[in-house]
Amino acid sequence: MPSDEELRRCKSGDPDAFADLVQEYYQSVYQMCWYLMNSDLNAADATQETFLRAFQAIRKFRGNASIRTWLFSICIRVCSDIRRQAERHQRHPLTSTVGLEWICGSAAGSAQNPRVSACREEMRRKVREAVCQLPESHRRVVVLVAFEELSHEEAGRLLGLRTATVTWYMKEARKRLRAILDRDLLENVQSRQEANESDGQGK
Amino acid sequence: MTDKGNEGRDSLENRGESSLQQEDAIDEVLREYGVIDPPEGGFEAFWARLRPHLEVDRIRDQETVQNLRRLRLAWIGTCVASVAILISLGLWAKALRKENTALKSASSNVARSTPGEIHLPGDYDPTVDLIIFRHDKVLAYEPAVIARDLRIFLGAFECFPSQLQSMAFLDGHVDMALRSHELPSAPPAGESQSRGSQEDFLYFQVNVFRTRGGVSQRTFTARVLTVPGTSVTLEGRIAGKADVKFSLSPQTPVRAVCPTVLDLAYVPFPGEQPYGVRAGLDLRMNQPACAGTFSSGEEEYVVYVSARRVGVIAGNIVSSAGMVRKATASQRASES
Repeated sequence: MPSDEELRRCKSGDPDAFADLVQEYYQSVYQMCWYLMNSDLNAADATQETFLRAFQAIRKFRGNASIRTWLFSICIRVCSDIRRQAERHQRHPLTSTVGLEWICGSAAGSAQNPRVSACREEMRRKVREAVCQLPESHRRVVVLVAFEELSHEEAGRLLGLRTATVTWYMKEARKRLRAILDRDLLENVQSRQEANESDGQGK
Repeated sequence: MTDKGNEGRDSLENRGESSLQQEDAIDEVLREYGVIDPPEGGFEAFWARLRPHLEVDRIRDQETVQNLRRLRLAWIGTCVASVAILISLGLWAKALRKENTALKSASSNVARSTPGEIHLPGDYDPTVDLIIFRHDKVLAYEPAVIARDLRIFLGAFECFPSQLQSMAFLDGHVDMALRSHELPSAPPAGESQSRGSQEDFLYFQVNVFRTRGGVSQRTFTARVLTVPGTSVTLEGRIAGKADVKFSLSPQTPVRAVCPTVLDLAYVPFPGEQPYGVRAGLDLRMNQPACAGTFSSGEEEYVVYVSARRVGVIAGNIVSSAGMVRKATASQRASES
């Protein structure tokens, strides 16, 4: 969360002050863009556009919401715009293009056991694919609530939805994810949770 | 509570717990495996890409601010100019109203004033029907209320400016006073106005029609008011290939009698002996009468003359058309 001084500098148009803000929220914004755009390339573009618009509009930021929520609202708008633009021009169809190269690359860079690493990458791929299969409305809620850990009220305010609707979307999303994801994956996680709990009790 | 009930509640709780556990598991899976890491290079690469855009945007923003400032200044300038124009228009309209009021007031003052107070200046413009001057200042133009005859009288005074002593506009009538010492002596008492008197003015209207030849069929019309003893000359001079320019002018009085003859002289070329017609005038005639014809080469002209006698009684104007002007109180007093 930027301090008032940093925010004041950002509002005065100081790019260096804005750099701190970008650094702090870069990963969150990129992640949201990635899930909404479902593409590395488009996610990078959307992230850049989000911060550019934020830089242009930060003078008007009144501090009613947190800067993170404000950035997410810009991000959602930018993703919608890019999507609409792409659909209109049909130049860059936004298909599900999960960046396998990037995943492989990051996996290759991992210092873990190759087998564990491959398994982990496989799970990540499955999770991402599962989230990407959700409808966009559900996906937005999942990203905000599950990844960014916003409360249902905050997510509802951000998306212009009622809290109950957010809760219902979240419930539906979990149900669908459960159906999509491999049972093995869930069991694996559940067993790991139980093991962690028993370890904690033993200690 | 029965054992069955307890079992049911336990199973519900267990199911709820397992549901919650499942929710937790899903969220846990999402957080553990769903996190998307930024592309290679991370923030530094991203910032290196973003920074130039921000700089460009900042410069554009500054320009926009400057343009907005200029626009605001231009807008304020326009508003100020508009307000100034409106104010000046308002002031102008107010001044115009004030001037109109002053003119009306002056006009009413003129109406109340004595005739001797209003003087017609020497540089009177005959093309304007009537200009009322007072102390060398224009007070009013009154073209609409002047009768045709009076307009002609005023035109005539261009020829005899020294004879107009005063003029006043009263209740739709114009009272004009003439200098008596420049007029011939007053007629003997008891002489009838209808026979003509030395105080009479003669108003001639001459129309010359081209009945043959020439380029156009223009008609020459001239009016003149003369004092008794004046001879009126109609002159026609060659002006161009087949055109004759006419002029009608009163001459200096040479006889102290009312002229009964209108000399119509036609001078075809400068220096040549004029020739023309002499028309006898019947002062009682109201309709134009043919005074004669003359020709020049292929062109032939017919001259029509109408005359009207205008009498001046004690400085007031009386026309043969029956326009009798009221005498002022002082004049009536002097008459009596």
